Amino acid sequence: MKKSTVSRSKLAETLSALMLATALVAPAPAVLAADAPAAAASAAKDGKKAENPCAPGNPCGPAKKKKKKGSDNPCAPGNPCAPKK
Amino acid sequence: MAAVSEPLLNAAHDALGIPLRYARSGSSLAMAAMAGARQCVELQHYPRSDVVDTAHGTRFYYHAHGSRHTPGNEHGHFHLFAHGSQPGDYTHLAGLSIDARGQPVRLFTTNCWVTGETWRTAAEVEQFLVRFAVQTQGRLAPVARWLTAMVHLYRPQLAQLVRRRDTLMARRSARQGWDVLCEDRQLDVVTQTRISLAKRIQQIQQLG
Repeated sequence: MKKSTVSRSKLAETLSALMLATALVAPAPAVLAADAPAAAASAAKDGKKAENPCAPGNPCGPAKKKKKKGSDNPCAPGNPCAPKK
Repeated sequence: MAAVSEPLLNAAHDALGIPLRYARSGSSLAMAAMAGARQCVELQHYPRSDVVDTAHGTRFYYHAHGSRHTPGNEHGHFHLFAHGSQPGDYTHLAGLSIDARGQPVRLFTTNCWVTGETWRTAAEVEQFLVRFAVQTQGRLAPVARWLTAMVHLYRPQLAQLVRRRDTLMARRSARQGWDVLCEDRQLDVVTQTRISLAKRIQQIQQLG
C-alpha cells in the first residue's frame, strides 16, 4: 500500500515536470504536402478498393514489405548474412 | 474506492516518464516518431516499413494527413495494428494522435477502407488490446514502450470507442449495406475521443 502511495506521489511530480519540460520543447516541423500519384488518387475517388495497402486507396494501411533488389542472390546486399563464397 | 493496479501505475509512469526524458534532451515524442527524418511528409510512414513486432504480433507507424475530423492541434498520428494468424491478416486497433510537442490529443477508430484491415468485432479487438505490447530495438524502442503504456492506460476508453464503432457501423450498415459502408469514402474516422494525459493521470491518482 505504501509503495502505491509513493508511486502516486511520484506520478504527480513527473506530470508537473513533463508539463514544464514540454512547454520548452520546439514543436516538430510542419507536415509537408505529398504529391499523390494521379492514377491511384482517381482509383480511390472511384470508390474501388485499392489492392496495395500503401496506396491512397488505403491511406493508413500497413507498409507492404518490399522485396530487396538482388535478394535472390545470396551474395547480394539483400542477404547480408549469407556465407562468403 | 477502487485500487490502482501495479501494471496500471507502471503504464502511467511510462506514459509520463518517456516523453519527459525526450523533453529533457530537447526532443519530443513527435520528433522521435519521425524516426530520424528531418521532414514529415503527408501520408508517408515513419519508419518507412513500420515497426513490426513479430513476437507480439503487433505493428505501428506514425504519419500525418488531414481529415475533416483532425483536431487543429494534431501534428500526426500513430496507427496500431495486431496481426492475425495468416499473412496479410491484420486489424487496426486504434489511432493515437499527438500534437507537435508530442502530447497525446485524440484516440480514434477507422472505417475498413482506411487501412484495408480484416474487420473484427469490438470483442475481438478488445482481446487484442488486453494483450497489446509492442517492442523494438533502436531509436524507436522508447516510442514503442510509450505506445504499449498508452494502450494499457487508455484501455477502457479504447474498448468504449470500438464498441461505439460497432454500434455506429451496425446502424449505418442497415441503411447502406455492409460492403458499401466499408468502402464509403465519406466515412474515415468512425469514433473518436479527445484525451488529456494530465486528466487521465489525475483520475488514476484519485483511485485507490
